[in-house]
Amino acid sequence: MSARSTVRARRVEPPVSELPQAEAVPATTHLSEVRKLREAIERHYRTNRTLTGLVHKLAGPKGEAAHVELRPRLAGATQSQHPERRPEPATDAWWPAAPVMPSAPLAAHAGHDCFSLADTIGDTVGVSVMGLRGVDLDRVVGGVAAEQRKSKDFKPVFLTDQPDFLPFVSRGYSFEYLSTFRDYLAPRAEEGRETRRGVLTTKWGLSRIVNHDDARAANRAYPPLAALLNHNTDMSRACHHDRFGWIIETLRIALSGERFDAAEGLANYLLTFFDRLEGAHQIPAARVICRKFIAFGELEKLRAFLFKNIAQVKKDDSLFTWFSTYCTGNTEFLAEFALLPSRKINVYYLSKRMAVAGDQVVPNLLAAGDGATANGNLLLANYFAIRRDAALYKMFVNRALGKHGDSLLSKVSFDQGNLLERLSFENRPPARDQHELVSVIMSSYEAAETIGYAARSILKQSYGNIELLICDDCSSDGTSRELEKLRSDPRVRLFQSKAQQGTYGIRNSLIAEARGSYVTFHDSDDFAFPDRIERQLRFLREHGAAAVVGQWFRVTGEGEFVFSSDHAVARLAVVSLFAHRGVFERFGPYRTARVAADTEFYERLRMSLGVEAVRLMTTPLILGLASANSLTRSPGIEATEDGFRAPARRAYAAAAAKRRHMGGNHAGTAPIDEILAANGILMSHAGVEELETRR
Amino acid sequence: MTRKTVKRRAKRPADDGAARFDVLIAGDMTRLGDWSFRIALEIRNHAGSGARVGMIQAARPMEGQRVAPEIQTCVRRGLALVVDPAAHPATDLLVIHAPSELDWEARPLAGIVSERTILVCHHTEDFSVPEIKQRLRGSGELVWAPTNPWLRQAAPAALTLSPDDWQPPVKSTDIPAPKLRRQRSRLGWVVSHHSAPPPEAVPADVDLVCLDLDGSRASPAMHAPCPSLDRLSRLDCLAYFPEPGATALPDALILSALDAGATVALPRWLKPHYGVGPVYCEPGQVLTRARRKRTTRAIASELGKPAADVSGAAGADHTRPQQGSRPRPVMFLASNGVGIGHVSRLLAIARRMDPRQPVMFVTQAQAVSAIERLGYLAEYIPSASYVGGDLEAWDSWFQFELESLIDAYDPALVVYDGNNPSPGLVRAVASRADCRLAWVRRGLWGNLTSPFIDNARWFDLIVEPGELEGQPDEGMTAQRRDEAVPVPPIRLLDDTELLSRGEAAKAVGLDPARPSALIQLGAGYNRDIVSLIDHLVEVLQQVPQLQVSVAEWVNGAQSLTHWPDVKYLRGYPLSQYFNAFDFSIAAAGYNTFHETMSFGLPTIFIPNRHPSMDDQAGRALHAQNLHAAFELDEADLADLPELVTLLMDPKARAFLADNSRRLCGPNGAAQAAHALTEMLEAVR
Repeated sequence: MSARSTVRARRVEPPVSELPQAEAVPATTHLSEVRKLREAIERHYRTNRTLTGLVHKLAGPKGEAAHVELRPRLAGATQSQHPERRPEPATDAWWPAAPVMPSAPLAAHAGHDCFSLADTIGDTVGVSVMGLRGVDLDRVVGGVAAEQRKSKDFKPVFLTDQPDFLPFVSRGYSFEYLSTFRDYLAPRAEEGRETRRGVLTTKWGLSRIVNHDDARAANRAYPPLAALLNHNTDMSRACHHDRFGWIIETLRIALSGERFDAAEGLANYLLTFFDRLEGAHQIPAARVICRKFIAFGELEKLRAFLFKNIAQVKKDDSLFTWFSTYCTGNTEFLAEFALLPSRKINVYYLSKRMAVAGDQVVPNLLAAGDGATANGNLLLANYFAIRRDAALYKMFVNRALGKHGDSLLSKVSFDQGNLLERLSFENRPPARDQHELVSVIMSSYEAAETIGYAARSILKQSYGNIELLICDDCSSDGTSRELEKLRSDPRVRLFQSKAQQGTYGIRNSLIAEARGSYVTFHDSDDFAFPDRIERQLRFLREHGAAAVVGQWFRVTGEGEFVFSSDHAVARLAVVSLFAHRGVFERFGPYRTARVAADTEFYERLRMSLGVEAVRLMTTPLILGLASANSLTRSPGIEATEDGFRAPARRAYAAAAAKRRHMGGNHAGTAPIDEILAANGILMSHAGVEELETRR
Repeated sequence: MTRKTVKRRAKRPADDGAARFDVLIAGDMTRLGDWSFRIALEIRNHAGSGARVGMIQAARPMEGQRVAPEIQTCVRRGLALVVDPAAHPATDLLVIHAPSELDWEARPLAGIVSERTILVCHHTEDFSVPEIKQRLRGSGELVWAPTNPWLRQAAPAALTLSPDDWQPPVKSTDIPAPKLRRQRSRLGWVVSHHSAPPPEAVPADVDLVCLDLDGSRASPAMHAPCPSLDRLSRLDCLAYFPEPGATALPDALILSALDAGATVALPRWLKPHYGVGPVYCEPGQVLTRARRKRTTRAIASELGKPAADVSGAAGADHTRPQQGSRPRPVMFLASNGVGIGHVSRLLAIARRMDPRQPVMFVTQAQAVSAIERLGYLAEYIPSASYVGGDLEAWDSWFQFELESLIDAYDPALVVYDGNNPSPGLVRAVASRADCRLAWVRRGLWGNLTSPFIDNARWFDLIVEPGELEGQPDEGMTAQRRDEAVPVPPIRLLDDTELLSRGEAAKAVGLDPARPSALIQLGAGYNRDIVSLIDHLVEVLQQVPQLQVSVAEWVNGAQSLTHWPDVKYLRGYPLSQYFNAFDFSIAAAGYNTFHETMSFGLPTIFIPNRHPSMDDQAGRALHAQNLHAAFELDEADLADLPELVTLLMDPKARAFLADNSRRLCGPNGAAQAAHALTEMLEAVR
């Protein structure tokens, strides 16, 4: 039977809303006739659904037609403004200013599935589906319908915050749309929502409200999502007189939230209209456009844009920084770029030109003396690293570290090779309370030159009750020989990967092997500050957090600190994630990507647990090696301190961010894994085996 | 209050001054009618003079009663503060309205310290409240102020009376003069227990509005409440015929109506109180006298004398509520129909409002996504068809929800597009004294009418979106067209906003080089569109090379993806993509009809003939009579192949497109937006 003949075979009944309701039937009509009519409608609805299902099944997946979604393309469409928030009107028993709520509740529709029972079902239940949309929403509504068919003892009223009502309408259910605007108008959004639920309970006579909310929608504490939700709520600001302001903000959020998928179109839009932007918008627009160019590695476009808009460049620190760095020769130093328009030092530019500029600028920096910032001191340290002056280098690094109250360097040597290899910190007294075992997980690949100091920096921690689980990922450079040297420490457990699987596959395997109450990670080319574990554990306990991450300083093998375009060195070190073991069991595993799976995991954790539970330490805990060999700088998959993301990383980050923002089963893997595979950065689990420990 | 005192107070820190007032007004603020008008006028007057005014609710509110809209508006606009008497506020002047009606047992005024207290007497009982002096121990000098000469005569000799009667302080600019075109007269008749009833029949060009001042504003027979004070500006004549001896007179109502330029008809015995302004006559003479006065005004206006002079309006407005720099929004309220015509018309108007005017939407149609996609804020209230049970229960909840939204968003104007302006709608808007109500009322209602058509009288403006010229219309609205401002047909888009054939075809996924047809039969709420589409698809797919697309309405109740080799379009606005198609087969709803006609998309209309308040068949037939489209009855589908064959001929399509474009004038949305703005300006 073809799809066509199936359609023709049935006589589709008109929808329920057209048929006479019970009230419209003349009083003389016997009740049983009403009942028969209702039963007939119910039967037809079920037949309809079955037949539609059959049609689609027969047509097969290829025949299943998709909708073409038409969107308005209206230039200069006027928009709503954000509602104006006003003080709550005074209202109490003696000053009844609020609208008077009717006492009799409304009758909810029983839905097409139980249409014949509309008059006999007494119980009305609220089903809250806030935050759910698309197939997730359809699944939940379908589930409720199935339950209703079985029990025949309740009528649902759905509470939704998404504007596509088809899942309810097609099944004939009543529903309420809870717009976020009214939450905004209430003094406190939570309170507003609760009040609204209270009203709806009375309105429909709900016996209870069953919660099927998407937890993430409720968790507005997750900053990227909160920014997005607030921004969407604020969409109404996209009225004609501030449309560009809204688009600029959208692009800013898209870039900071790694929604690279949305950035391209927005940036092009702004570029098209850039010349027509009013004065106040030009600099913010230029900033986000430049950020987009940098993130996408479009340096030629960046240069052209900055040269064209030199007037804005001269007014703004960020634009000035980029101009000085990208639009001037790498080997020349121009003194006019040493100071930003705000008269602050252009640290980023100087750090990039220290080799040629040092002699000119250092006297001025030195003149700033002790009052200089931590970043200023690290800039000076870079100068002395170039001059290989260990004493002065140590002095300026310690000045910077001292500002954080961190451990201080005791020994530095520029003799040869990697500086981190010949670095040592002042000894710290052992931590007082060491009864909890902490598992530190490390994977290594081609790390023969670095694994030694990386492991030693962990083994020399002031918190000694640790186990260090190291797994080599089939290196060919003699890393395993270096690992053998660590066997003497009973706290070290060595593993071997069964096949090359990437760092995140190894992490997943080693988490399962870990015995500690807490788990953290360390990269095989990084140097941990001697009190890293002690500090993180203390911070975690003091703040009652589930997880904590710290910061790191990226430093080259020659000892130069790597500055970012915001003129700072300290950066979030996702690798330093330190958490209760249960956190990994509940929210893991890591996706087996070649890169950046730790960022995805960290963001997922923050969104699931909230930022109060996943805390950020603002102190550096690690010296991270910035070398061309490190994963973050590997050609094709690199991420750089200026904000550039290689295409593969961009695609991954955008897909992960989109999933966080738009919902969907965030623990699922299929679509993102497909993107990873298409970009050649998907690995697969291979398992590990523990090497026998020589005692 | 001396100037010195004012200066001293101005220096006082705000927190210190929180319990200190220039004037405190006490009374039952929940009581509706002339009472609340009077108090609102007093607040405006005092606040306009720069005084700090406080309000005290001195009677226990009744269950389900709300503070009167006029008074709430004063509080919202910051003209008066709600005062807790327990905080021992101090004031220069305490004004107590109708002391005999206050809840003295609750000691509502015990903690107040006042230099002077006025007891405004509305009844003879107000002169004899027991132990009043003990109950107002801190209230300084007590003065009794009767509201009219008959009460003054009844006052006990021992009391200190005010030298003048206590009159509501009406200023001309409190009530803006009517500026709108209007051919029908509006007669307001005050009904109370002891007054003459309104005439049983009035001429066809007169709207009778019963003003129930005895408490409940809802007069079931009229489906609507008593108008708020500001709406009195829309009365042409006010009549009140109490029995002789009545002492509680609606002074605020009468003086305000006089001030707004309305003819006020009263019995002769009230002349000592109201003087020469009103017309004194018998109840049966009201209409004749009102007509005579209206004619006089019209002549004065013709002679070039400003209307304001005729009504005596003059002087600067000191009492205008303080407005922020941002205008209050316009709330567009779209009712639920079989399609989303109501939403589309309102969107079309909203897009053409002044850019500085904030707008927002409340919809009963399931078209929130369409509204939000155009960038507008949308709230949803389920329509009656999505609720079981009786209509009255739904309407009371609708009123509550709408009132809550009006409270939250504070609109200056609610614009309704729908066919059933239910009592709940009118009452909800009337719950705010400073909120206007307009109706975008499409014509061509056919044989059906709304039980609430008479509620048209409560609208400050009715706009009627037009049809093609010469469209026969025998519907109810055609008989009442004189109460509406006509505008040309309203369309969401202008011609220039349509995508080119190439762009549109690319977006839809069609080959622009091949012919294509669009089926757009509406949401399918009162019609079996599945069988109909099935038939149409079968016919169209027999035409070689023809690409077939089916449009799903954004508020459709079902997905229509049943046919192979068909494009399914969902989204809004569909008309933006019309150039992708060579012809269409469509229902003849207002929007689809006017969009296809004005954008020159040759169309076979298959009108929906199921009973609804939209004569689609009449509309389609008229287009066919003008050689601009085809009209095809569902019963005549056998003729479809022939029509399709004809439409495959480019010459035939060009003929239809030219004809239809020629018939369509400018987009009426801009005119409708202008009329709304003009009305807002008139009352601002």
